[in-house]
Amino acid sequence: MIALRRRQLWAALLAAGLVCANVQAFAQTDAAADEVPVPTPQPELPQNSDNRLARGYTVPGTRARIGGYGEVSFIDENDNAERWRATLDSISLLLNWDDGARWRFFAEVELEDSLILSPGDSTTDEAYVSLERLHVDYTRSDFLQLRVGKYLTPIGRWNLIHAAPLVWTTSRPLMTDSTFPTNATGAMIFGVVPLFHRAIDYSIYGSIGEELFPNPELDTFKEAYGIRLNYSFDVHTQIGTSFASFEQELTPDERKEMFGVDFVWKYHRWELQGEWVYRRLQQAAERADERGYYVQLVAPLSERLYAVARTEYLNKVDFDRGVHLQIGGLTWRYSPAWVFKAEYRYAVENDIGVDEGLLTSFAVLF
Amino acid sequence: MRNASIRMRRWLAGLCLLAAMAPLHAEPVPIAVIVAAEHAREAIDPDALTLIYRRKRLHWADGSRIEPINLPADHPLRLRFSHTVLGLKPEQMQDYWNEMYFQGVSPPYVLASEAAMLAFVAATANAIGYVSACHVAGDVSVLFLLDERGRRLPFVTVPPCADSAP
Repeated sequence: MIALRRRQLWAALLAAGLVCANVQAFAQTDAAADEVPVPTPQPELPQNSDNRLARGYTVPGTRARIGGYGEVSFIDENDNAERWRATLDSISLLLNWDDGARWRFFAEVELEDSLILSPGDSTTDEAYVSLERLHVDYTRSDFLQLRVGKYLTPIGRWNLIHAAPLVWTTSRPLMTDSTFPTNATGAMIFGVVPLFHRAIDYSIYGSIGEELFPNPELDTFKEAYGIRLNYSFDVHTQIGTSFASFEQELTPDERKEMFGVDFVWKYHRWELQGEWVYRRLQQAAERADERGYYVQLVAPLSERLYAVARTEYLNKVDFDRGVHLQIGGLTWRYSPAWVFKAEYRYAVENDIGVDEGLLTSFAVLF
Repeated sequence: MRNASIRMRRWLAGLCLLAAMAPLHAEPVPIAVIVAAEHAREAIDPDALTLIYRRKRLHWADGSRIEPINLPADHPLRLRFSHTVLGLKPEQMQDYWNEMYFQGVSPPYVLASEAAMLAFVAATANAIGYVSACHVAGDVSVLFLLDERGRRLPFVTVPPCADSAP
């Protein structure tokens, strides 16, 4: 009886095994029949663009991307005997790589003032290579990321998005590169925090000086720390605030504290943007040693043509009164990658000798 | 009395007309947000989805990098998705993506059709995408359904699509 039951059990197991094998075989046959190649997603190219500009070039088989931008400018100064100057201002290369997970590398190298033409003269003597950014990022989470290396100082809005094809004017607001060093070498933690259905971006950074490949034209940080917050109220409006405490190489015993507020509002191709900064010496905290602001309005005139108006003020250290600048111009965005700009700049109480007159430029993002 | 009867008939005729027109104003099919089975339990809500498609949120909870996928900018579902989730049309995002490009961040990659979206998301552990709810098929997991106002919908029976193939 027991032997019979054992035989029945073995027979049942054998039958079950055969059924399973058949099912698996059928499944494999079905899978083979259904197997189709997985489609490969493609980078999204800018709309209204007849080429691959403005999104860089992905190195085949890697996660590395190379891109950049360039700018040529023409300046006709009102009270300069030489009258005009044409400059190949910048050729900037961007290199970006990530490992598909937590590590990322980014570098920006810029060749500046590589050719300057003026009446009866041309020179390449003022050319120099500048390392704008070189950093490695490690992501713990979207809330907590670490950056080490050389990066753009997170103060205000213009300094972080200063590439010529991305801004509306040839000239840069004075306060965005006068009141603080535009680059810092050190460490930063940054991230994105969801808040009230939107997101707040934060950056907290520190530097002990020792700038990587310092730009000879800049007075770099000797020691610095700071914080920046940027909140997106909705898809149209962002407000930011910045604080920094720093010493610079040329004035090592002067600790400066800087406060800033900035905003941008974009609606149906209109744009209103502004920044305000107040800098003071820590030893004389009751008064500003440098302060300024700008407000800029952009209005669409046609599908690709925009009118730009900006008012600026900067009171530099050691000057009793500040300079007021008024700028009006046109920007023609032929495509997302090609931009032509022309503006007229007029100054009042121009004790610091800001260039006045016609400024034009042509910029390309690639 | 007779006037009241005529008024009543007119009302009824009006109601019948409205009822006949109702299908014309029917709600569009919800958008299904889809992922591979590996991330089926991920805590993603419509706000988080917005951050993902603006490339502000880059990582899943396990640290792997999110691969958001879009349809082409002129695809009707992309237009709906962009308006619903990002609040802007694809062409209105151009300046934003130029700025992000300067910071080393690219817009989501693109696939040509919903069928391709389904196939890619099913086969790619870190991908997230979207299709019309009536087109959901294969080995993808639906994280949630979105209505036209970007609100999360309960999993309801979805009416069949007007077009049969995704």
